[in-house]
Formats: sequence, C-alpha cells, structure tokens
Amino acid sequence: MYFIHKASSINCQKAYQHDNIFRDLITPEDYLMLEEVDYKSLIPPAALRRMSTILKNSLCAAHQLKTEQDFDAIIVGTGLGCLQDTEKFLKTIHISQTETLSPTAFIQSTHNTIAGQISLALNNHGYNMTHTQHTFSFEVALMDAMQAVDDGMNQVLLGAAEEYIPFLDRLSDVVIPHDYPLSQGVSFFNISKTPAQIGITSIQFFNFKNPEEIRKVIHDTHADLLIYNGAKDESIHVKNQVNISQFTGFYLSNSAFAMHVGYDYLKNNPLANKVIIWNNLSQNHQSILVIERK
Amino acid sequence: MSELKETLKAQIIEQLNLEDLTPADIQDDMPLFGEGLGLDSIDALEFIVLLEQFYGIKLADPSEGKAVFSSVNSLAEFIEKNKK
Repeated sequence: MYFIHKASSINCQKAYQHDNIFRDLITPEDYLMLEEVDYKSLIPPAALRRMSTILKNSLCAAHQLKTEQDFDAIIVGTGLGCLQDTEKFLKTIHISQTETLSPTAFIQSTHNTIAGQISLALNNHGYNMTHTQHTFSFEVALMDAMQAVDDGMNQVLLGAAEEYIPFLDRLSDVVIPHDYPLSQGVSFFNISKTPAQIGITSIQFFNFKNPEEIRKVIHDTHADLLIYNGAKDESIHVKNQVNISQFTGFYLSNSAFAMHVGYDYLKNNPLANKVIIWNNLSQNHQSILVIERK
Repeated sequence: MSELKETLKAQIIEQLNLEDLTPADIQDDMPLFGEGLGLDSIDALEFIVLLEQFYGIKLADPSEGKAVFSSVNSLAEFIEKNKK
C-alpha cells in the first residue's frame, strides 16, 4: 500500500500551505497568475538567481514536504520540462551560431533538471529521476514512486511540474487540443509505506479503443468524487464530478493537482471514502487512479 | 579604463542574473569568487562566454582563469591587454 502523507501545490489556485483546497477552488481570471510564494525565505539567493519559474516552485513545494528524515527518492513527471531555459538556450544557439553558449541555460534545460536540482538543493544523495511521457508524465512518475516504495524506500518525494512560455501558444493545438487556456503549475507529494489516513489504491492505463471499459471501471469503483481533466463524458453518472482543467487551465501534468485536490477532499470530508482521478487529456491514452481513505 | 569597469559590472549583473545588485554594489577590487560576490564554478564558465561574446577574447590557458576572474580590476586589465 502507498500512503500520501502530505501534498503541496503551486498554481493559479490558493493551494500552497492551504487547507481545504477543494472547497476554495475558483475559476481564475488569469490562469497564468501563480500564487505568490516567498522564494527568498526558502532558496539561497545564489541558487535562486539561476532558477526559472518551474524550478523555484518545485523546490518550494519540496521544501514544504521535507521531514526530519531525508527523502529516499525524488521522482518527478513533466510533459514539457524546463521551457524557459530551453528557449533561452536555443535562442543563444541561434544568435551565436554555437560559438559562445551560456552553460547555465544548457544545464537547466536538460531532461533531469527538476529532480536533480531538488536533490542538489536538499543535499540529497538518493535516487532521483524526472519522467517525461506527455500526458502520462505524472502517472509514470507515480508508478516509479510505487516501485521505489516496493523496493524499500520509505520516504519518496513524488511530483509533477509544468512551465508556460508564450511560444507555447503557437504550438498550442499541436501539443494537444484543449478547452482551457494554457497554464502552469507544480504539485508534490510525500509518499510512504508508513500508514496514513489516505492511500493510493490503484492505477490503470487504457487505450481509448473501448470507452465502455473506462466507464465500467469508473461506475464499479463507486467513488464519492470523480476528478477528470479532459472532455466531459455525459454517459458517466457519478454525482460529484469536477473538471480540474477549469480551475488550473491546461497543462500536461495537471492530473497531479487533481490528486492533490482529491487528497484534500478526503481529508476534509470524513464521510467520503474514494476519489477517482481520471486523466482523459488525451483521447487515445487515459488512466484511472483511485485514492481512498484507509 | 573606468568606463570599461562600469560596463563590466553591468554585464556581470546581467549575464549572471545578479538582479538584486547594482553596479555600485560591486567594488573594483572586491573578490568575485568566495567571500566577495560569492560566485561559483558555473559563473566562471559564464565569464569565459562573456569575454568571448563581448570582447572577442578566448581564454587560451584555462589556468589563467583564477587570476583573471578574481576582481573587476583584473578582468579589466586582462581585457585591455588582449582585446582585438
């Protein structure tokens, strides 16, 4: 069994160091306006000056979940990674014709930057990994975290992070068609085998060749709340349903925030027992994650 | 030379993202690494890029770096001596 001990998110909602996120969800006027966090109180100035939005927010969320015991593993999922630094690096290549390349943008744009930077900042020498699997990035990171717990790692920092740059607007429909504005956010969790109030029961992956299979799994789960992030399915009859993209905007790993909202809902509603997080951002590849009260 | 030093200070702030500093905060003889500005090895690489990008100077001998990058004074002297 995999238990969620704590969660922390930073996006356009009031989520950072905030309880009862589900109750206070609002449709934001500006999906890109991130909740303000006092970075300087958590990150040394020398490190802060090099960090892009995604790194600063990931590190602040990680700091919030720190315990006296070091993390045994730091595992992150991201659909598009550190876009600010990637864009900066590519622009430098274009302008300088590869003659004089700034090392910082290159270092921070590489694949494992997020988990790696958190490890460096926390002086952590355990396993760290950043997974990139398009709309499944968080779910693949979650599976890696579950495997880490199975392998005996008892304190796993699991997260997902996404960053917006204006250039994305030009690629918007290539990334994936979506109904809500492009946005950004990070969500992190402390996962452990040590029992806690709420745990992760299962995760299943589906090819959307047979939508009936997904509907059956959702109906058979008898959840108190269904949180999805793609298109609404009118044939699914779960009384409480929330489209998390309405509150976060569209980013590839917003199912991680859905898990945070589900966790928060169970924590604050003693009569509720189960929440489904249905990642249906993609039409072809979908997942169903169940968390429940233990 | 003093104009070059002021330009260098502005370039250091810009290139190394020292956004909380102004050129007036960097004294000419202040150590840039260690206890002075507290720069690190990645900043040393940024200095190599800065020299090449703005002054067309390639640091031929990397062992020179420690002395050249020690302060704004030493950087300015090195640029004056080597600029094309």
